[in-house]
Amino acid sequence: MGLFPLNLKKIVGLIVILIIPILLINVQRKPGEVAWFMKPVFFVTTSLQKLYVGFSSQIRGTTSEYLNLVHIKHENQDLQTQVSVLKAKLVQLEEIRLENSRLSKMLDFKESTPIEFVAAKVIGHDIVRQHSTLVINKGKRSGIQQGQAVITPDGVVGTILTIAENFSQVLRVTDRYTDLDAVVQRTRARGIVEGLSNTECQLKYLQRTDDVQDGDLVVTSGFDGLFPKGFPIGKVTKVDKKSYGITQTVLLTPIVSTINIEEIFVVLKANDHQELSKNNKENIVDEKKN
Amino acid sequence: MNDSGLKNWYLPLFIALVILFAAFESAIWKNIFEFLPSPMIWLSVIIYACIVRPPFECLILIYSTSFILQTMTVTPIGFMIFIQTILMIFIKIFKTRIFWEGRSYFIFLNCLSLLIFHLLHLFLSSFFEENPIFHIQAVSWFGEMMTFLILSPIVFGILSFILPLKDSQLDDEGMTVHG
Repeated sequence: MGLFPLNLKKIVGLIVILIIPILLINVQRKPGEVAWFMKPVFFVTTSLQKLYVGFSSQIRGTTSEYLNLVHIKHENQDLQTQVSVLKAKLVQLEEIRLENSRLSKMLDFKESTPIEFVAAKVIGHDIVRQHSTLVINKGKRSGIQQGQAVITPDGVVGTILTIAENFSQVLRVTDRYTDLDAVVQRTRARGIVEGLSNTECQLKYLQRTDDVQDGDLVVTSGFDGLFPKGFPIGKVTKVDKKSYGITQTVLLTPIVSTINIEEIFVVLKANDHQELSKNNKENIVDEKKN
Repeated sequence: MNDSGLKNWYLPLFIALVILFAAFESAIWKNIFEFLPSPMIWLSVIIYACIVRPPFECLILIYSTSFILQTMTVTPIGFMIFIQTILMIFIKIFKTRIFWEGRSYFIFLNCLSLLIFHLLHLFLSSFFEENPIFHIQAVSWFGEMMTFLILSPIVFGILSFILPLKDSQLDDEGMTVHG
């Protein structure tokens, strides 16, 4: 008997079940509004994610509370209970303070720029390691459209990939399907930023003669009309000029970390070719220094 | 659980579990354990179903969950279906040769499947994508297996509560047990 008893029927069956997904690979997902039949699925999964996010915030509070208490000597049971209660309240307050600080920063940013935004909360991340997307709690009803820019006060997050009524999927700048028009801030050398992995992207199509160095800041060019001009994308970490060829390979680390994103802005109207206000640029430079 | 009463409910139960686990990883895991690689526990439900359920039911599970999971990933649906179908075939063949009851079998197959999932994704990406996967993140894959090992008692507990991992499952598929 062979390893796996096969007859003609089984062979045909195997071929059919393998050919269908191969054909489906060529059916590229079209960016834009979610198809009608996907809407209920989107509703169920995003509702679950929303529920989980609320739950995880509570867990985070409790976990940090536990870590804070590890080094405290317990004098007596009453005091311990009292301290625990107070600590729990403090953690909650700390969470509120941090959130308040984040939101204040976002509000300052919103008020000091001419760009039209809508703020949204991140409720989910991509479940497959090889991709980098986010799910946010705002969609078509908030005026979000496919392709719009997604940013934080620190820098570029990505673009809107698909939209539903109350939810959207964001393609992060580190995803391999992303490409953004960008320039090197110092020398204005222009290229296309493409995602590589969860922590890295690359600046492509730079000419070999273009001046790029480690530590250079890569910003949005503004030519795509989606992102505000001069908004930070990433910092150059590696420049590779081979002895042949007309281009060079430049690796970037995104300014916005792949983790800890909780709130983001979707740019409704980028005010094409409008350079960021001086005030904002100074804020960004200050943050980098800090 | 009583097998006769639940026979028609295994598929919807497994689909619901895949959604629950995937949403858990998407919303909670990356929020709290951001420094740890997520163990893809949604995939382990499919692996378990491939061990204990007949091929046709597994195919329905694979197609339906791949469709639903499109709301939580940008991975093309063709990739998802192809990789999981190959995994199912692998598990079915593997099971005809080697099978033992218990959690260790599930853990072993799951770790192997995680590795195959990533290798197949790498392979498909290099063939079909313009900007294929750049890094082979072997350390992260290993990390995923380790985090799965930590979570496996809970995952196995839930899955085996729904449908125990028993030798008798082989008879349902009409396969012969070797070794």
